[in-house]
Amino acid sequence: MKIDLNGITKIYKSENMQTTAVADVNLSMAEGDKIIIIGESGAGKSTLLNIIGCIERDYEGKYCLDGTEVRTLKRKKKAQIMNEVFGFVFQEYALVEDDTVYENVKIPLLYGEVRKSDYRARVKEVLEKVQLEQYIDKKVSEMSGGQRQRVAIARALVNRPSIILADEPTGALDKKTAEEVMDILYEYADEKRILAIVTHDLQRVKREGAKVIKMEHGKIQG
Amino acid sequence: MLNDIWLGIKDIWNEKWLALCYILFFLNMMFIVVSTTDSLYREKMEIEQQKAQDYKKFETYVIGMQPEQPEEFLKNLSDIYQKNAFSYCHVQLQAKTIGALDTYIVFGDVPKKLFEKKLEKNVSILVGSGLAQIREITVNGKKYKVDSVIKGDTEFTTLDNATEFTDNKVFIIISEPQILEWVSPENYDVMYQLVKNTQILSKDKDRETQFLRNVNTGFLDVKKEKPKDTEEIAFILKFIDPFLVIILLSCMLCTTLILNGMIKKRIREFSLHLIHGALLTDIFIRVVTFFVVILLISTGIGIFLGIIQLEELWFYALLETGIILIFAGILTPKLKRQNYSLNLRDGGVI
Repeated sequence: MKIDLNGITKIYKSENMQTTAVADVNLSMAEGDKIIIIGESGAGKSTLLNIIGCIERDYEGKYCLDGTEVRTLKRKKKAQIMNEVFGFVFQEYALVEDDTVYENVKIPLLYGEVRKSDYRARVKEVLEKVQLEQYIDKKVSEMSGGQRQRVAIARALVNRPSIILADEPTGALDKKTAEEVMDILYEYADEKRILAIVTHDLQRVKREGAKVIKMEHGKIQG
Repeated sequence: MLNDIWLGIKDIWNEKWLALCYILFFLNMMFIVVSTTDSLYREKMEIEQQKAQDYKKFETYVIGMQPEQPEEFLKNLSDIYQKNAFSYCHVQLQAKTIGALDTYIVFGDVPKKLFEKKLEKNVSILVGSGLAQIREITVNGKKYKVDSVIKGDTEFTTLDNATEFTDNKVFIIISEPQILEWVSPENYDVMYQLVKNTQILSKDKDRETQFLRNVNTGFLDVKKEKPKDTEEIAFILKFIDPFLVIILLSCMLCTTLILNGMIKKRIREFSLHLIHGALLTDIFIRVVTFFVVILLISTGIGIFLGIIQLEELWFYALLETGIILIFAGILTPKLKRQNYSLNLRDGGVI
């Protein structure tokens, strides 16, 4: 899997003003790459991550995923890529509070090729990786912040994606839990997958071999 | 798709109070709509029927104890019913084996539409299907063979606006009546019934005048029946169709508002699914399932409680499809405009 961003610009328009979130970004990532994007709030880190994850639409420039320009993809194909290629981790966990761990983790499976009868086994397997297998039927509203983030990671990994996009994955966690969460992500990413992390806190997420990119006013510095 | 349907059903459970409120709202609304429009439409139909009728009816009030000359009174009535007019009275005939029989004695020139069976004899006896075992009946000591068994209802049942079943009734139809042979001149109740139930062909004005002259004695006060469409009713009926449309539109609007609340609440979850590979179609199916199941439950309860009649189901199917389509029309562009990642951060705003 290869990511190529060429001249990517994203401008948010409102009635009275325009805000350039990402300005002329060029970036390439290949299998095994671990990239940490840092920068101040409003630097465009999350927007860039969302463009990579096909969440953000209406940008300028050329974004190719494995040689195919994402903009040309049909809605159905794009949804399939979001389901199979990407695993998303968000700062505020983004879990369905009313549901159990199982219900939350299986969301990506609902739209993929995995058979319904295999859902539980797949969820169990990934929960073992994040050491939450005993909580499979517990409501996420009854879990701690660290446990919730691990549920979110399990959801990101359940479809065995080749690209992990994590937006402030340790933002709401204490130091020890943050390290555990990062260990899980790095262990999964190994040498075959791409890991892109947006963070304020470089110290907590940095590991050996990870490349750091600094963004300022929507641009990549240096 | 099955997953989407299942998620839609799960949403009902998660939003059970909203769903319950909606079901109650829907049933209430239907109850108001159905009862109001039903009675108004009946009124409208009655007026139209009245206008279209070939026969004139009369309002009859008892003002005295008895006619001055009862025999003359009945003889005059017999003359009236010879042509273009008829009437009937309701009596109980005593049968040895099965007790009292509900009997209608119909005198006169009976319109063909009232009884399907061709009436050729001067005295025809018809019985309802529940009395099919009766072969003959005796009236005033004279035996009459039963001519025919009525299958189903006849138009006769609507004559006095009573939608009674004809199953257990006997009809004696006398086409060239000599009422005195059938009715005692002392039976003032039957006389009153005959006058009250008289119908005269509208175009036969002379007969009408003659009838009114004969019956307006010290015993009865008889007037031509007033047309029902007074100004007030006419005003209401004029606006019944727009009224119905307004009610339906407000029903749809309320539905949209209530369920928009549900979408607002769940937009974060929908965004999450869209980020993980769901298509807008999946969300659409999910929301439509939510709607359809709630509407089906409401309709089911409505049928169970008798608010909704089975033959009116097409109307509800149409209404519910309308509601779903309107809502889908609102939902789809809203979902398309969403910033999914922002929804995950802020809890979602639609």
